[in-house]
Amino acid sequence: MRRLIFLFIAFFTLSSADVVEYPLLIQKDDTQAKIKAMYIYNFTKCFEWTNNKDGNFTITILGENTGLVNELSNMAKTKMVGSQKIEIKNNTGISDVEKANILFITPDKSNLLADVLSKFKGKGVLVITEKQGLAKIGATINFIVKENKQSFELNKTAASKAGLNVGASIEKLAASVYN
Amino acid sequence: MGQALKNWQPAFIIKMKGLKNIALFCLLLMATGKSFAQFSKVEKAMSLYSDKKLDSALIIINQAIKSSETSKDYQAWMMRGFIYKELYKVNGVKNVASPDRDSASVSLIQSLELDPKNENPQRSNTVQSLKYLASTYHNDINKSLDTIGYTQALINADKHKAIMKLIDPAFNESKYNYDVFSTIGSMFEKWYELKTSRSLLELAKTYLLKAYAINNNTDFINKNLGVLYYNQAVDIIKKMDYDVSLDQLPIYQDNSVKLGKQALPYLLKASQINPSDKSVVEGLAGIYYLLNETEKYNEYKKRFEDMNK
Repeated sequence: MRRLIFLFIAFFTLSSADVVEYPLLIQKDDTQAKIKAMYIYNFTKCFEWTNNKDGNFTITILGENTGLVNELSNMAKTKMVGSQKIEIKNNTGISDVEKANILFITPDKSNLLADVLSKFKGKGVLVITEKQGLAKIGATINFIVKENKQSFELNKTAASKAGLNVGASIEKLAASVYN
Repeated sequence: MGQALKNWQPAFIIKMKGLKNIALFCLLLMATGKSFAQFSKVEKAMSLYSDKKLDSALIIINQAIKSSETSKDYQAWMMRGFIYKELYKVNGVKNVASPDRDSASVSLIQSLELDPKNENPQRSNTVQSLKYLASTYHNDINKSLDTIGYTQALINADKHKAIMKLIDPAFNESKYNYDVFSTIGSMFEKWYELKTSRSLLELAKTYLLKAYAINNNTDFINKNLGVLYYNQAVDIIKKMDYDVSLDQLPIYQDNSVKLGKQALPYLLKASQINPSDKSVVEGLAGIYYLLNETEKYNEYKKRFEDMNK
């Protein structure tokens, strides 16, 4: 992401003191995207993928979230999942999604959750959402905000239906766990 | 030296040309009851000064002020101040810590203090010279404003204040301190953003908070403090390595959120003082985004976008 530089006029007059205004740099980094990307990278270590072990480890964003796509792409440059390279894809429709290890559905595409679950049932795809209540209706992970911080809910049954084995550590760290 | 003297001459020097005027000056000295020898030294220094022989004039005047008879003579100290001032103009204008300027200031201040009844006919020239010296201290603050020279900037600010308090009853020391501290604080803030050094951050905070303690009702100080805390909050997230474990993530977020909450009241106040400042509105959008307060974020984002239409 970029930084924005605000330039102010510097003046310090001879006869009277006035404040010299130095350029004020306001950070413009997408903090939410960075945290989500870090959670997602951690999830690659917390689940056991029984399928899709060939080729690249694919993380697909279904919907629009440029910040997250950029952040995950940065992460993919240096990180791997086991021996698999990470590949980031961004799709707008479910029909475009062919293969994924992780599928993140943006809030504006939440209505596609049922179709996603049906299409990828038992195929070892970790479905992550970001809208209140979606963990209860089938998303394995749902990002939530708790006390101004990003956190997540876990649905163990959904994980099982998806064909994923859940690691013990993630359960302890989830804000809510649904069975 | 000649050029420097051409640039400035106190009014009484212009008027007192030649022996006639020196004699008049001598009469003035005699009227104050000085012995001939000491009077002669001040007169001699005056004459050398008029002839632009500043180094010789300085030797003589320094002898005069060490003498018990003229050590408390405001005219001797005034003369010493003028000589040092000219030496400063010839040799020291590029030196932000010029000892000649300090000696000139000390001497002229001493001259004023030795003349509590305002009897010195050249008092206004003394004051004018002090004003000039004060302005040079002030201008040199700007020249020393970097991460190393800032201590000299503070020293020069103190010297400027010492003079101004004496010669200008309207001088607002508190406002001056606010300006100096907020300038130095914002300078360190800028350098912290460029170099992300902990010590620069601490210095930025120290001086911005000093300014804030003097006046917390300016958009400048509130904006700078708000942005300082906000940028720190963002830095925590930005610098996190992707290998930070799942159990550590909330700790980093806690620290970032804490700083974001510290930033918020400052930027809200800056916005209240100056609602048209786009950078403040954008900063507020950034804080609410960091704090995951979507409604507020959207509100300020829209406000910022509207400002840019």
